[in-house]
Amino acid sequence: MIRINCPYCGLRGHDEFSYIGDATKQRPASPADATAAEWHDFVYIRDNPRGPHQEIWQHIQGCRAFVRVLRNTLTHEVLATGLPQDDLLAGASGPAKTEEAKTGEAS
Amino acid sequence: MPDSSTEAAGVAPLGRQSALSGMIRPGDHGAADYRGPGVTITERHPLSMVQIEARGPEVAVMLEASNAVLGLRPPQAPNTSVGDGHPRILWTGPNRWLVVEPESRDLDTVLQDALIPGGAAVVDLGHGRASLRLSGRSVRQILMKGAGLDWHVRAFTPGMCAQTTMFHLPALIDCRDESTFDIYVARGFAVSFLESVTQAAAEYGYRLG
Repeated sequence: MIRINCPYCGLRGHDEFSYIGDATKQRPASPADATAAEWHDFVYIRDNPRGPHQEIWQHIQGCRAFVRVLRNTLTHEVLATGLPQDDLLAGASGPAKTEEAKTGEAS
Repeated sequence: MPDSSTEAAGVAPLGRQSALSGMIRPGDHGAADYRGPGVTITERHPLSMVQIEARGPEVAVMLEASNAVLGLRPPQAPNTSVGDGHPRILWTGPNRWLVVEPESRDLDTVLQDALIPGGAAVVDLGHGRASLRLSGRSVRQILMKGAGLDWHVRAFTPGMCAQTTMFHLPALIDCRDESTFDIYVARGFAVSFLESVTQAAAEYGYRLG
């Protein structure tokens, strides 16, 4: 089973999580001004990369937090996890972020 | 529809009924060894359960107000719980806690009055959940059968709680002492959960009470 390191709960089986979607897709910066083509791209168009990919999962059976996951789509290896706003490619040391996340969010 | 319609018709208002009403057959069951039943299973009812939650700067305000009204500060560390049960406060998510106590007052109103002015959200879950207490030397074996966490006595210690699935049902599991666990499940799954627990406990022997 794939195990995902929830920033709050630690390592849990992926069956506790729901896959939400591609974390790299950006909502149009100005929704009111976005064209239909931009909305179409945001809602429907997804890359299908082979290799490391950033995704949003939700710990739906646990703390219900959203989790950013850097996952290798070829091997299913979970390379790093963090809070949704974290940049996993910069640090690339997911589990180390756990303590930061706990103290940061608690206050 | 007027609320008083049933009273006007002379119908007595219904008391609070357990989700497991009539389902618990008190006594010893299963294959206990010479030491007696490996686990005692009791329903905790009726309980007041209220979820409190806040965002941003309002979290600190809520923590202070909870401390003032309950005499107990919600625990900061994820997946931990505090209190002797009067009340017990369990961490259930970022900036979200569950306050539980045996029903003796309108806990929902108490917390609404104390916390909502500070911006917190207060939700009464008391009628939506059922809770079992599992206690005894075999309790961790039963947890191992149903839930995929590390249940070693040094890994899951008193004062820790976790939300996970147990026998495929979403469950909140609270370690009260080394061999006592309180487990909360959705009310509608209470009977199914009890059946799964008793099935898992049969080989150790269990006492229903």
